[in-house]
Amino acid sequence: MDPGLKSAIVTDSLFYIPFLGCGVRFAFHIRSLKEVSTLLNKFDIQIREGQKHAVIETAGYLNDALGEQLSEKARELIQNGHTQLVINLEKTTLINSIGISILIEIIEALEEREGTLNFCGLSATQERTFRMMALAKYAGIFPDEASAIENL
Amino acid sequence: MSLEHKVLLTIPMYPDMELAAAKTASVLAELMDFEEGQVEEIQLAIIETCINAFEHSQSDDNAVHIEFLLSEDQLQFKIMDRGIGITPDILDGSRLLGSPSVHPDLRKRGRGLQIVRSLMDEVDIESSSNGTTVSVIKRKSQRTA
Repeated sequence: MDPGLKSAIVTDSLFYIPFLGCGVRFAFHIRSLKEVSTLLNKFDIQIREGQKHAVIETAGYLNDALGEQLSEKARELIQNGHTQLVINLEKTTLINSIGISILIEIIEALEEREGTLNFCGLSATQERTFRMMALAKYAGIFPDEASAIENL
Repeated sequence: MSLEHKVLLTIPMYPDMELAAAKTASVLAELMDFEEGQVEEIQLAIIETCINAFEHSQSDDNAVHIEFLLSEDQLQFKIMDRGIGITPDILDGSRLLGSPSVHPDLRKRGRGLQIVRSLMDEVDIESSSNGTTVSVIKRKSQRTA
C-alpha cells in the first residue's frame, strides 16, 4: 500500500440514517482509500473494429482516469485510420465534467482528420448534459449502436 | 408539519471519493422515491460539487463535509469545505478554460457549476476565507397519473 495513504486511512466510517422512523446504522471497516476507490469505480473499455468504423464501449464512471484510457484508445484508432468512431455509453453509469472535456478532445482530434463521431446509449440526463455543453452540435447522438454506426 | 431527517457524511479529498457521496445521495433519493432520472441528476450534481471542492479548496483537513436534509418533497444537500474560499473567476468558470478549443462553445473546463445549476432547482454558494458551502435543493417532480 502507498505509505502516504496510511495517514488518510478511514478506519471506522459510520453512517446513520434516521429514516422512516427507524434508525439504521452502517459501519464500514475500510483498510485504505485506494481500495475504496477501486471498489467504487470499476471501469472497462471494449473496442470493436469494423472495416470503415470502430466502436469504443466504455463501462463504469467516466472521469479523468477512464477518460484518459478512452482518449488513448481513440488516438490509437485515429492514427490507424479509423476516423469514423462510435462511442457507446450504455454501460457508462456516470460522466463528470472532466470526462466530458476528454470527449471534446476526441471530437477535435477527429475534426482534424475530417472524421465523424457518434454517441449512443446515453441516459436522458447524459444527453441533456451533452446538449447543454454543445457536444451535440459536433457529434451525433443516437439511441443504439446500430443506428449510430448507420449514421456515420 | 413535514418530517425532516439529516444524514451526515465526511469524505476525504481523494480520487473517486466523490462516488461515495454520489452513492449515498442515490440511496437517499431512491428511499425518498425520486424518479430514476432525478436520482442520476442528483448524483451528477453532487459529483461536480465535490470535485470543485477537491480541486479548489486547498483545505487543511483534506475533507469534504456533506449534510443531507431529507423532507417530504425535496432533498437538500450542503457540501462544505474548510478551504480558502472560491473566487468569482472560479464561480463563472473563466479561470478554468483549459487549452483553447477550436469551437468557443465547446469549453473544456469550468463547466461543473453550470451543470449543477442546470440540473438542480436551487443552488446557493457561500464562500469566505474560512471555506465554502454549496447548498443545493432538488425537488421531487410531480408524477402524472
